[in-house]
Amino acid sequence: MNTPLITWCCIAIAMIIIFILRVCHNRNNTLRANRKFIEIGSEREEIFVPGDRLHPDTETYDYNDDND
Amino acid sequence: MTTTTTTIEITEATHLYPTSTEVGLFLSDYAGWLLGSGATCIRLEKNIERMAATFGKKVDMTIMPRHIHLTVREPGSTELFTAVASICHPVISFDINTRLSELSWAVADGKIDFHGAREEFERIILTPPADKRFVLLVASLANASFCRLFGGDWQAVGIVFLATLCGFYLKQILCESKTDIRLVFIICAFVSSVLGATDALFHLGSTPEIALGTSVLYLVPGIPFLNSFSDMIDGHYICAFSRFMNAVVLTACLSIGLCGGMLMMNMGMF
Repeated sequence: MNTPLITWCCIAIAMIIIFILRVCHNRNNTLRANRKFIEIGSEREEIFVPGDRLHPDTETYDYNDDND
Repeated sequence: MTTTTTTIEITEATHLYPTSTEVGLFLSDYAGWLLGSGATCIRLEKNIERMAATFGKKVDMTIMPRHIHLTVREPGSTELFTAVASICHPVISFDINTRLSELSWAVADGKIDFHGAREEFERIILTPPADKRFVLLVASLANASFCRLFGGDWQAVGIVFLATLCGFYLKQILCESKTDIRLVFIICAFVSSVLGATDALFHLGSTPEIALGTSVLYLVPGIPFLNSFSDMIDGHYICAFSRFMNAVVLTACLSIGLCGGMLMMNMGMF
């Protein structure tokens, strides 16, 4: 086998091993925390976009920042 | 974060007429977070001056690469307060950046008073980061799109997607474990370039060089480069130089990883 193929195989196998280990680790943590695999969340949780207010009752501001 | 430690008793009167000490402590915290979230120096100056003017104060600032010296004084008074704030948010967050700018406008427009601004600020800095799996997916898609834009065929697009997915996933893991960011860039660039060379190794498509070249684009420190130019145009040469050097170091690390990958895969210049 030539060097590029060996290198490629090593990297690919290492990434697969890392991925499997991480998945197993996360699954163990999830089981320990006794979380439900499937649960029904609120509408806000389901369509939460990063940047949304954490408290839905607070006022939002929409200003054009270029006008100063 | 602020080196000066002062206990403040917030009373009803301070909500309307905060002292220079209170304003200085708030603005130094605010400045540390805004600059750490990836804002440029001109943005920081505008936001701070906007809020200080609303509170009836004048602010003089020295913006350093890792610290901000801030002096607040009241016009016509000898009372002044100086604080030295450290940049406290190591990860660039446009979400926090935007919300802090909105806060400054809310203060300037009289929507919230000093106490309200302080509470809103505490809420903003508790903003959770974006979901890592979502970021991983969209970063990979974006890099794959770059490959297509540069003329790569669909095999190359798929390979770049997988190479970015693996490299970015590794970057998230290494950053979680507090690995040095320069080492992270070298490792991730190496892994992505080796996997990006799949096209050439197995002769899958007709644009292997585009797949290899675009597989590491997600590591290019674009924001530090842009901010450094913005600071340079605005005359903040120390910050501009600091950010530029930081970006250059990261780019050099990226290049080392990419060259290592190309060398191992017998591609390109080697």
